Amino acid sequence: MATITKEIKEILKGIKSLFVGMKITGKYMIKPKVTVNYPWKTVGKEALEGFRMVIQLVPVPANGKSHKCIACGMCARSCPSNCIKLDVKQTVEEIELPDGKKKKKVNKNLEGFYVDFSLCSVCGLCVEVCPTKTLTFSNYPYIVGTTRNDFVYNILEDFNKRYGKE
Amino acid sequence: MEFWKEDFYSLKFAEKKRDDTIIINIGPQHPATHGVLRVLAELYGEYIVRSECVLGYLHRMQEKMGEIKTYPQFYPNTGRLDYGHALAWNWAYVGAIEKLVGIEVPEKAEYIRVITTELNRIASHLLWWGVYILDLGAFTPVMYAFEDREILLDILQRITGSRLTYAYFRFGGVFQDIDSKFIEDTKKFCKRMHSRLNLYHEFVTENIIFKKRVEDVGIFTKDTITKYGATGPVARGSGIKYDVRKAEPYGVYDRFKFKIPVEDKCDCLARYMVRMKELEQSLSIVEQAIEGLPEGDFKNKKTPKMIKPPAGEVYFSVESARGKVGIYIVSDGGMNPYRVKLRSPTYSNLSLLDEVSKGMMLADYVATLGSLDLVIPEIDK
Repeated sequence: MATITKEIKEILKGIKSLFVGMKITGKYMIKPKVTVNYPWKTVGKEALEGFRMVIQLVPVPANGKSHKCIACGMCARSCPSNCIKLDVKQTVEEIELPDGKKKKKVNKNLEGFYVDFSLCSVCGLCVEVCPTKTLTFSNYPYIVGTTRNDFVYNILEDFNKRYGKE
Repeated sequence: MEFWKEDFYSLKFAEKKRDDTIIINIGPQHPATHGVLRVLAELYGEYIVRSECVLGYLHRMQEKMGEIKTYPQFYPNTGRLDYGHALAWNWAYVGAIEKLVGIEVPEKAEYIRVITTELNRIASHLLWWGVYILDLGAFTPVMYAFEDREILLDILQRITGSRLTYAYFRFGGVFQDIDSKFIEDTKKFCKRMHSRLNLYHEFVTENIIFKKRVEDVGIFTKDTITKYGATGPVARGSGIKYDVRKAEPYGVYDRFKFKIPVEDKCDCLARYMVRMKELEQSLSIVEQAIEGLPEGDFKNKKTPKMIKPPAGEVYFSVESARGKVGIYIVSDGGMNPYRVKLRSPTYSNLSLLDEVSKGMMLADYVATLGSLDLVIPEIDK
């Protein structure tokens, strides 16, 4: 007899548990939505804070127009997937020192800073290794493209466009 | 078409085929296998006579990649081994090199590591919880789990920069400091999560259909566990009290008070309960760590820029959400490691399944497979 009552109790408890689940689901049905209807609505800028996307050059705080990249190539060498290519034009000029001796001076001019984002794994080694702290991550995540080359960014050109330098 | 006459594994498996059975493929593309795991199963009616897991569909040569890259260049790889609990792998690699080179880690960095790793563990368990119930045939709980997990990923994203494949830890510290917003959000999340866990138990753990699916299903005896070297919640669900955080404390884990949940039932429900209790313990660790967060640097400034460890070998292990993660590195004194060996817990956990699955119902097999908490990228490496 005792076992039968125990079993009936178990069954009743089981049936009750099904209704508890229904109750919770019902409660959630009338609660506000937590998701965002993506292509028409996007999350705010706050939600993207700190998110790592393609690296970008930082303007000097003093004038806000130029960058401090010295084209040393540390970022390209530290990259695990070789996705950074620098286009550097080297010119050598001879300068005269005050004591009359002549010395060769190498000028490095940065003409392009290419990042292949399809290979990048946003590890941040280039940002850390930069001796002048000129690199940071951007955080604009909505990038699209139809070919692989669409994800090769010239971040120097982007910098010049954004900060108005010819 | 008799597919089992096509490739090497099936040919070998079909050699012992009985006349009254059929061989089926579970996977490699099957929603219950969480990735590309292929299981060859010989069925008699609905009972599994024997089964064999075929691995290698996601092999990426992570160990070889470690040998051709310099030490810091291996960071992103460690984030991509286990997408569930990437920070544990981060820690294992970073810890191994720190041990070999002898880099000191500032106290604050250790605390940040504990906080982020435990948050990541919670995220991993939430992912498992939702997806396991999904395996068992209930769709709604995964939505509840993801609601909480998204909050957690938002918190971690502000600090670590990614949502899933982190590369946050550095030799001698972490990539960037945490701020007051992170601490506030984490506190809020911990508060919220306690009540959510009650809801989870009410919603799923006490549900009669769930109980009938997992109780006394997939029994792993202590012998099987020790024979195959299974660790983590799988071992703890069979009454083996082993947790790297307590057994060989690393970082600052010896300063926190937490219990290791152990269940003796050995079935799927036991492993489920272990993970649910671990969520509570992780929350308590996070709360303690935030309370005792010291001031100081987030990265050791004396860390050499060029990591060139002395010739020698090192082994370092941490506890991930799935078990014991170990990294063994041999250095010959050069720029690259001579050998990187990765010990992934799920590989050992999965290997016991072939033995256990004999005589099991097919539906129970799926329940058991889910209870192992498999992450295929980690198994195949």
